[in-house]
This record gives sequence, structure tokens and C-alpha cells, in this order.
Amino acid sequence: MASITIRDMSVSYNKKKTYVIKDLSLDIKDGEFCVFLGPSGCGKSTAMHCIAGLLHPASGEIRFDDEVMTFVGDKGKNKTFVPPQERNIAMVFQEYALYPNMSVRENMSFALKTKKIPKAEIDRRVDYMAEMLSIEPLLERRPAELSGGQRQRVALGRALVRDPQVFLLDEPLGNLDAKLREQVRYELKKIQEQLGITTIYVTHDQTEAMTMADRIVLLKDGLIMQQGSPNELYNHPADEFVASFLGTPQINIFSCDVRQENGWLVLDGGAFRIRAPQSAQASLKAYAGRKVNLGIRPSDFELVQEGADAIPVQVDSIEPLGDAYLIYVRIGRKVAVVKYAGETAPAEKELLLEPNPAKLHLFDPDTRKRIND
Amino acid sequence: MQHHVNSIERSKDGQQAQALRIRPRWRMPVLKTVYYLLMVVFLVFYMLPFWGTVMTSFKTNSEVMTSTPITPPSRWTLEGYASAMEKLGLPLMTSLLITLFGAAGSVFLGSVCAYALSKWRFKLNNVFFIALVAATYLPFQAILIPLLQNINALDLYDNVWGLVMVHSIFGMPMCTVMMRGYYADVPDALIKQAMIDGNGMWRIYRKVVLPNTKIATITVFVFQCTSIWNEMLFALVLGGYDSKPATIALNELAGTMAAEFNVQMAGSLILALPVLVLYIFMGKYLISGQMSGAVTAS
Repeated sequence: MASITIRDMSVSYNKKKTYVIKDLSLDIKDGEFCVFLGPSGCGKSTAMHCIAGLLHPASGEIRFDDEVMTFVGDKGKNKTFVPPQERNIAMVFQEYALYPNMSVRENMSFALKTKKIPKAEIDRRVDYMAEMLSIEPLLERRPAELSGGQRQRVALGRALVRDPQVFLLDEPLGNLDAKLREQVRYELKKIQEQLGITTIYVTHDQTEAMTMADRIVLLKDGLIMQQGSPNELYNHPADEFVASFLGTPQINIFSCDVRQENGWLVLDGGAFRIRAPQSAQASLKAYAGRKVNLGIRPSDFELVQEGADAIPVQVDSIEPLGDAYLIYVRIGRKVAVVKYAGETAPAEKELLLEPNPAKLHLFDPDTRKRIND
Repeated sequence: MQHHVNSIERSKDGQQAQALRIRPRWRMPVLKTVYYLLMVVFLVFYMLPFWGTVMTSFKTNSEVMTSTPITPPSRWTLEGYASAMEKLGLPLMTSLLITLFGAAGSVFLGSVCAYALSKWRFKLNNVFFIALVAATYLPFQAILIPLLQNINALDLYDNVWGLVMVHSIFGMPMCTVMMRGYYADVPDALIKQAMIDGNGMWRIYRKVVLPNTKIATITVFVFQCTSIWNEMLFALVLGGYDSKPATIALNELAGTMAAEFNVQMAGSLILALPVLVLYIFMGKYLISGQMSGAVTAS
């Protein structure tokens, strides 16, 4: 097992004309489950391929513990590059990449044979991992004879059987159906905890990130937008992009005027008016007379009969989820979504909603950065 | 007038039915007859010479003189084949040697080049590929004289291995171009995976790329075998008496004998037989190999 350190890594696909990743620095602790999360094209897979040694960065450094794996100086000089086959990493690709000409057993033992490990030891490890992943009956089959879920397990098994110091997973659940994905997610997390291998997991699915990660690194356009535990990112998004990327349904964003009323700062959204919470008063002072963006998560509304900060809304449509309802409402001219956990959906066409004052997220409309603590 | 009634009835069903163009019923059989007639004409055009060859090859020399080539022999005999084999026996072995080693050599070289060009990025990658494509269009006559001088300098004139070398090298560009297409279908993830599994470039080639492109290799090998087996130009210029392949020997058969057509025809059929057999047995692989680029590999 190893910790991973990345320093000032930049990656370009077109001879440094534009950068896919710019000055990325990151520390991943030994045994940590780190998820690279972000929309398509944000550079998350590129970063992982650099760690694997499948791509050369334009500049920067990658270390496993104290050992330098990749180093490229500022002008592309003083290069150090340990090829992927010597990094002792295991990787699972989205398309599984099982060798079609080999049986499951041969697939799993291929890397071990390359390392010239004795046959008895290879068999012991393969059998152990096959039992762990419940793929023993499949050992003599070819990949073409397996279902998607089985292939996925074999790919995982093949990676884990090597006892790597770093485990890289590039959207490994992307090709599975929803039910299987949930099951494998749980198993994967369990195995990772059991083996304690430093793991990097690339995904664009925020549910996977939230459920599995010790730490999420949220990327956009090759830059780290925020990193931290899933709860930190969800409850304290550093900017509007993070807030809207995490959470389903998406956070509701309202443009509000900040006004002073009787010595108290108030957020005026046109169709509603709510007092800014005590905790935000100090940081909002600089915005008096200007606009801010107010973010409220769909689950942070409460249905009330009356209240000073209640927002009057008109119900547009209701989607039942089984254990809750998604209510689409009109607030002025804007459509917002509210998650309501009651037994039955409200019958009224007009409702009063009160946002939880402790869970309001305020963002600067220009920089999109968070304003309140 | 059947089709008129038909289209009026259909038009009652509305716009969509009208959009369907109903072909008049009388036209179909007529068209079919024309198609079949054309096919029969082509078939006769192709098969008649072949028929004549087969028939003549089983006749005696005197019967050849007295009958038309397409009439079946009055007495079936293998005389022609026996005489042809006397003349062609050794050259056939030479052809076999040149074909097998020449095809193997060019397929090996082509395969390695195609692997490097399709799966590894290096400087001037595209330049090499364009040069190889250009080489496939190179008319052999254009390089024949310098090639002869080179072969002489290497002391390989009238030597089977000289011809093997020439076929290996000159077959390589075509093999590369064909195999590069097949190798491009091997997913990159598979190569990356093999790298991460601790394998270098050559081991990936041997353990991952080659076993997964067997059909491609067979297809290209058969293609090469056919063209080398039928080749005459290099054999004529670079081969002498000792390294005479069957194509040259057959040509001599036509030139030196006093119109022994039965022997010539038997010789032609003997020469064509290996290629025909190869196609019949390998047809399945050839078709699947040629089609393999059409759909993405799963």
C-alpha cells in the first residue's frame, strides 16, 4: 500500500496549446478510498491515466510514498518515468478489458505469471479471490460466456489478486444496470476496507461518489473545485458548481437582492422575502444593496401553515418516489423542486414552504464562490 | 391493367398507402428472367474455358486434335497429368517452398509493422504508414533491374531463398495495410490493461494481440499464399534453372511442346488446384476475416 502525492501536474493533448489539467496538486493517504468526481471532460480519467503511467504529463510530479513515479521539469526537462508495468498498480477499466482469448482463471493469473510467481501460489490467490467475489463456477469460462456483472467481478478479481500498492478504477460500474451497480458498489467498498488498498475511483455518478468515498475530489475543466469528505462537500459546497453537482434532484438556485430592513439583512427573491440567518449576517454585509445567489436543497424545505419566512408557491406537478414525493412548484416565474417526505402528497394547489435557515447556501453571483460559513 | 386497380384500391386507404409505390405485377417475372439470363451468360463466359480445360486435360493428344475443346473425351485418360507431373514435379515443390516461407515472412513482417503502427505512438508514425501504403502501389517492373543487381550482389540469383526474401519484403506493405485495419479493432483498453499487468511491448504482441486476431492472420496469409503461388515476374527475372517455380515451368510447357494441349491443360489445373483447395477450406475464415472490420469487436 502506498500514499500518492501529486504536485503541480499539468496535462496537455496538443503540445501545450491548451491544458486538460492545470497545476493539479493532491495528497491521497495510504489506504484511502478517493473518488475523482466530475462531469465528462473534466480531466478525471486523464489524471488517473497519469497516475497509472499510461499518459505523460506536460509537467509535474507523481510519487508513491517517497518513490518518484513521474517527474517532468518545467520545460519538459529532467524527466523520470517509471513505466506502468513497474508501478505495481492494478486498474479496472469501464469496458473491463478482459482478454477474450483466455479463460477467467487465465485472465486472473496473467499478471502473476508475468511476475513469475510459482504456480501453486497463483492458484491459491486466484481461488481465494474467486471465492471472495463468488465467481468460482466461472473460472474455466471465457469472457464472452459471462454476463456484464460477472465480467465486472472478474475484472475486479483480476486487479485485486495481484495485491497492488495502488488500485485504480475507471468508471467500473458504468456498464451495469442499477440494481447490480448497487450490489457491486457495496461489495467493492467492503473489499477495499478489508484489504486496505489505496484506491482511486473515477466516476461522474455522484451517488457512487457519496456512498463509497472517504474523500471526494471534485474536478471541473481540469481544476479541483473542492475536496473533502462526502458530507463536507454536500453540506458546505465551496461554490455553486459543487452545490449543483452533488445532490439529486439538483439544488434550487434563486437570484436575490440583499436589503437592509430594521438592521437585519434580508434576501429578496421577488416572489419571496426571507431573513438571512444570523450566521450569515456578517459575511453578507459586503453584499448589501447587491445581488447574491441563494441555494436551497429540495429536502431543506418544510411545509408550513404560516411563518414570517414562508415562501408562497403554486404546485405545478407531483412525482411520487415511493418513500417521498418530488413537488415541482412555481415561485414567481421560476420552477423549483421540493422533496416532501410525508405519507400522502399535499392536495392543495398553493402551499407555503419554509426553508431551513441553517441550510441556506449563499454564493457570489460573479465568482460563484460561497459567501456564508 | 391489374396494377391500376391495385393502386386505386390502395389510394382509398389514405395518404400512407398512396406513398407505397406498388410495382406492377407483370414486371417482376420479366425482370427476374432478365437477371437470370444475364447471370447465365456470365456463368457461361467464366465457366466455358474452365470446362474446356478440364475436358481437354483428360483427352489423349490425338483426340485433342480431332475434337472441339468442350466436348467430353471419348476415352478418359490421365496421360496428360502424368506427362505434366514429370515436367512440373520439382517446380511445384519449389513453388510450395517459396509460397509458404514467402507468405510466412511477409505476414510476420507485416504483422509486427501493423502492430507498431496501430497500437504504439512514435514520431513519424503516420509518415511510415503513408510510405507503406504508397509501396503497395509500386509497380514491380519499376524496381526490377536494381533489384536484380542487389540480388546478384547478395549472391542470391537463382536461389529459392532469394525469392523467399524478395516476396517477404515486397509482400510486407500489403500485409501491413491489411493487418493494421484488423489490429485497430483490438480495444486500446486491452493493451493498457496488459501494460498494467506488467507486460512489455513484445509480450503484449504475443499474448494479447496475436491470439485475438488469428482470423486476420489466416486471411492475410491465404491472400499472400495465393499471390505468391501465382507470381511470375520475380520468378522469371530472379530465378534460373534451379529455382524455377511452377508458373515458369508451366509457361515453358506451353512454349516448348508441339501443342500438347492435354498436357498443358493438365498442368494448368494442377497449378490451380492448391489455390482452389485453400479457398474451399479457408473460405469461412476469409469471409469472416474480411467482414471483421465491419462491426465493432465486442
